[in-house]
Amino acid sequence: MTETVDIKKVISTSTSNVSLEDLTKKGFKRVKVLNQAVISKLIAQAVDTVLEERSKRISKEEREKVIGEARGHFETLAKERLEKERHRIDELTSSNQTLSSELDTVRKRLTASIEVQAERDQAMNRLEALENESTRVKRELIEFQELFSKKKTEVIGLQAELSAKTVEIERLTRRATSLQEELDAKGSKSDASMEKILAALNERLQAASQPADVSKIMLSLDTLSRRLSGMGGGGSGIGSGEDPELIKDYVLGSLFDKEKGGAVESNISKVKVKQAKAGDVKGALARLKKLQKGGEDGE
Amino acid sequence: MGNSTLESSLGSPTAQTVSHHGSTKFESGRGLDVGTANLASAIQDKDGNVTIKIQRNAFIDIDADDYTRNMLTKLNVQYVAINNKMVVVGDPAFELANILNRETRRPMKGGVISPNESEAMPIEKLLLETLLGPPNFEQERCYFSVPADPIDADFNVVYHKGVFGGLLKKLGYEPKPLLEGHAVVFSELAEDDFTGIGISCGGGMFNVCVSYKSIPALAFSTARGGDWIDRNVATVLGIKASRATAIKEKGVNLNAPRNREEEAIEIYYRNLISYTLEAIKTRFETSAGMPSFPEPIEIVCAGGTSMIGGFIEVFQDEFNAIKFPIEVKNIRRAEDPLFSVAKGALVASLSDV
Repeated sequence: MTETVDIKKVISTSTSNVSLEDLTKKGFKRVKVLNQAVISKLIAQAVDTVLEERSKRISKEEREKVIGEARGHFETLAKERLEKERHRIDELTSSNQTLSSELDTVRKRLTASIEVQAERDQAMNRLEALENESTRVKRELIEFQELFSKKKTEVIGLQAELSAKTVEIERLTRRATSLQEELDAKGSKSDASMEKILAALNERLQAASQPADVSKIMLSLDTLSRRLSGMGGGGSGIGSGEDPELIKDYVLGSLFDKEKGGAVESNISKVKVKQAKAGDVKGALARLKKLQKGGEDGE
Repeated sequence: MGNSTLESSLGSPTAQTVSHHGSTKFESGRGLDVGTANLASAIQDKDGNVTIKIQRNAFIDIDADDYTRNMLTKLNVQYVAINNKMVVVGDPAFELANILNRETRRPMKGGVISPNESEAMPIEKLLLETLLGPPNFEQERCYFSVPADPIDADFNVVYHKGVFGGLLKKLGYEPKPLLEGHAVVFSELAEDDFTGIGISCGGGMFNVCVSYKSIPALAFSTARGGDWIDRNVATVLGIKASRATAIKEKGVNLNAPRNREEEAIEIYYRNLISYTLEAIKTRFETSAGMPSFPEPIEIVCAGGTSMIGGFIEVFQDEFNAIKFPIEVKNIRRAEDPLFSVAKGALVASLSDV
């Protein structure tokens, strides 16, 4: 192997430092100075010259020997290099195969994932559709139940109304007959107006067989009763002012009374109701009475 | 009429008349709170003690059989058998609904008779009979609460008033309707000469009455109450409204909700209070005949919906958030929130001579 010469180091180790003062003492007044670069250059030139001279003197055998050695060395190096490259190619090929295999796997997975996603989307759509359907059916069921309940209530109400009206027709018919008899007895001239009112009453009672709000029925009966009361004039039974209340009571009775449909069984009257003592109201009562009397003491 | 026979024969006595129930002597005149959630009656004995009887205004029907009938009787549970169905009424109905995970049926909805429960009227009559009993004498006065016309719903209270008036008359009383908010004024604002704002926070509605020296200057209702909270909480939590009511009544503090259910209750309570205050403010600002009060007035809240912990604090918070058109000196809860309306009706009854 070629050994390189560190010229700088050689100069440094083979020379000594002498101060200018010492040189002056030794009688040197002028010195020639060579820097390290120049020295290196000079050495290199000297070596090149020597080698050039030697190469002119080398024999053919030596040259061939050198060439042979160089070729051998080159071939060895080339073989090593080739071997290394082959090995590297093998490694790259193997790595490429692995990557290709992985790529295939990933592609397969991706395909499978896309298929699963599609199936999932399909299932979600189906689920959403089913939920919507379920909500719709539930809503329809609730609406149907409400309608059923409403209709049931209406039927019950109508049954009660019908029953009340039937009894009412009977009662009013009896009262009309009684009134007619009374008027006949008094020789009253008001037959025509009485008939008119009774006709209106009958018309209303017929209408009661149709669905109607209880409050409206109460109102119409009140009106009819008032008209009957007004017509009675000189102190007859109808004009006593009792009828509107009777009619109202009757309608309220039909609203609150379930006993007509069968006996009501209950233990309510036997159970003690929750009871509590509250703060007294004596103060509030006294103040209110005082206020009502314009500031006087209410007690 | 039992003990009232003597009084009846002598005609209608005045408010000072004393009648007898067993050994107790009572003043004549009754107060009745006809609430969506509860029915309560009030009566005063001769010593001035006020007795309240209360029933939850609800029922539930179950299949009838002898065993059930016997068990209900043994357990002291009140029932009515109608059309082959056992109907459990009052508080036990509420408890039963929670056990069976069902909703109670309610004779009233939104402060008035429910149009969907016309079958419930005979039950309502029985409940009132248990609360009032027979009158001490024929035509004894009974002031009963009625809601004011609502500002946010399309119905009036004429039919409701007529039906309950008729029912009381049927029971032998002289019925006198009294606005629910006005009843709160009578029971809670005596110290202020019956001047201020009474709010009855009920199950079906909030009833507001602005009163000046006992005269109602403005009265109205809003169609949201405790039931509105229960319905909404039930919807968001996926539970029955009866269950939501039970959670609410178990002891919630609106200022410190402890779980998701209580947080939902707090949210809807705050919303309801804010809604009501905005409604009051708007109504004040748009009413022509509003009195101008010489001094700051008091607001008093009554009713079962106001009984939850932290109600007044939340009310105060929401009140501070709006510019209220009237100067208010204090906001407080009624002394007996659940009985306040019945007591107010009693005061009206006893003072009506």
